[in-house]
Amino acid sequence: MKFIDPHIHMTSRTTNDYEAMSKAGIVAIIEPAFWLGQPRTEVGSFKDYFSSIVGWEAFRASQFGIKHYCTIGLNSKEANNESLAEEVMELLPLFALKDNVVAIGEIGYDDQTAAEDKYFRVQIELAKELELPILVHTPHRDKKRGTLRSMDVLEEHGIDPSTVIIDHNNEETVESVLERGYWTAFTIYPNTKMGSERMVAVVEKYGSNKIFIDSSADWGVSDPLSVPKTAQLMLDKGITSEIVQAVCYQNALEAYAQSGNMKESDWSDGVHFDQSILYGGNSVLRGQPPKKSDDSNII
Amino acid sequence: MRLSELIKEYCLNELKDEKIKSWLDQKLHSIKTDKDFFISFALINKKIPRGHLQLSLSQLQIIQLKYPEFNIENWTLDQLCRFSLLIYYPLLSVESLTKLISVADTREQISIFKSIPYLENASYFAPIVVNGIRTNIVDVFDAIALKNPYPASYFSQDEWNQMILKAVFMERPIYQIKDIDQRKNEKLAHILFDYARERWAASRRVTPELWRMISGYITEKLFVEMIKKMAEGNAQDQKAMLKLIQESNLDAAQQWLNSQSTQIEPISWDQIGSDFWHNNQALQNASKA
Ligand SMILES: [Zn+2]
Repeated sequence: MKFIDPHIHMTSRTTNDYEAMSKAGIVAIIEPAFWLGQPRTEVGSFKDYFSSIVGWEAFRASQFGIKHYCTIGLNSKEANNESLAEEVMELLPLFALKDNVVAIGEIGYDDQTAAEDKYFRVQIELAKELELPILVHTPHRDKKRGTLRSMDVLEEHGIDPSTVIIDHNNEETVESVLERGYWTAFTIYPNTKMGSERMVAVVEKYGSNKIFIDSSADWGVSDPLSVPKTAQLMLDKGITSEIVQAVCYQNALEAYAQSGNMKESDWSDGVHFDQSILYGGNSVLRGQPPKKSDDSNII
Repeated sequence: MRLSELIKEYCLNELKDEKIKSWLDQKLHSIKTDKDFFISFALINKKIPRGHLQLSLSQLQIIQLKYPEFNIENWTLDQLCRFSLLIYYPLLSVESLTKLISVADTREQISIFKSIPYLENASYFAPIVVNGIRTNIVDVFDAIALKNPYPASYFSQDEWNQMILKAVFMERPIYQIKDIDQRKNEKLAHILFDYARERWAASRRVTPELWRMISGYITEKLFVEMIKKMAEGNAQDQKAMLKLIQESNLDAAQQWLNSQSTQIEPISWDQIGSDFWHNNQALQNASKA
């Protein structure tokens, strides 16, 4: 079975992860712009980060046969540094138009402050202008209220729910998010919060319509194989392969294909990085695994 | 006709959608600020199809005749449209281009590096292009190093040597580098021979194209070392080493050559490079299948 992990922060992951993901059947991934675990203090840090997820990381993924996309946005935590946020807003349109960008995100609320609200709205307008889907990060604290408020604000701005992915849902939020017509994503966290077992129960209850799962693996304790592992658990529990396919591949594809930048043909014949052959694949040395990146830093 | 005019005409001609065509036409003439320039440049991703150009034979002949350096067959439509924006923008400064590259994705960087040699103030951008060679993204590296006249024209010897060494290291097709023979130099030959020793020590092969850049600079000592390795090499390695020996004025090389009984088939360096490259591509495709 083929999988898409529509939310994973690969800049914090190793090539071992890429290898394991590829082996487990992950063919495409989406890397939402997020914070790095500690706040950035200069706009240049954002620029280089955005630059790496529209270029370098996509190249890195391609070496493992994985197609990489990203979303561009200012996350809610860092929206609270208003002078910096203003500078980031200037950068966003430049990056949001790039080749592998499939949404504005992840945006939304963290502490639900006024600054967060301000930049959430600014970025909703940007998505509207650029005709891009929106990826909404729902807060970890006061989740239910934050989720409802996010949807209210989106609708206030005239956004069509079918172009929005509400992420990090749980049993408390799923019903209202589905009911209002949004793509409803679940992050499968190891140990805490949503685990694979709970996810199986959600799918048993709500089916597969508009629901998909992701790992949100990042620099913290997390599992880049959450999607294939949960898929396996679903199959073991007797959920049909059609439903598993919808939740672990097809729905995410449909949601983000609305950007015009993501399509199955991007990976169905293998992932080629633009026009040339993968570096290292044409090794003079037979049977050497591809050399990965850094060792080519001569200059 | 100036290259900029010709490129504009070709771009507009390729664009079938009238709205997009007039968007580009209007942008080419109206852009006055960096901000407008950056956004327009970024919008190419969304607006312009990525396919190959559908040139008529006469279009192809015109541009080949007038600008033989400009190999239009290497350009896709989106790349060519970015080039037209770059060549039309009257104020393109080093500062603006540096900023543009810092926010560019891979396709955009490729377009930029392919375009720079044809800009009026091309010489200003040497530090940008030298810095571009530091990339780890192969396609970006290739856009600078392969089929691009810029490095041979503007790189210092050390910069040139760094690029060649990196190209060898990254296993790029050396024969596609412009003016590879004209910019050979003794320092490079020694750097590459050292590199070969490192590879041999690790029981690894070197590309037969390496000998192309060492040819003319081989010393007695290096010659002896190379001959020892010759027996271990495959037919491609041996062809390249033989060619180096044939080109050498070294007494030892000539004596060695005279002692050989077999006839040596003439072959060009480009042919050696292209055979090696295509052979590797085929092997790689076979291993993927
Ligand atoms: Zn995230």
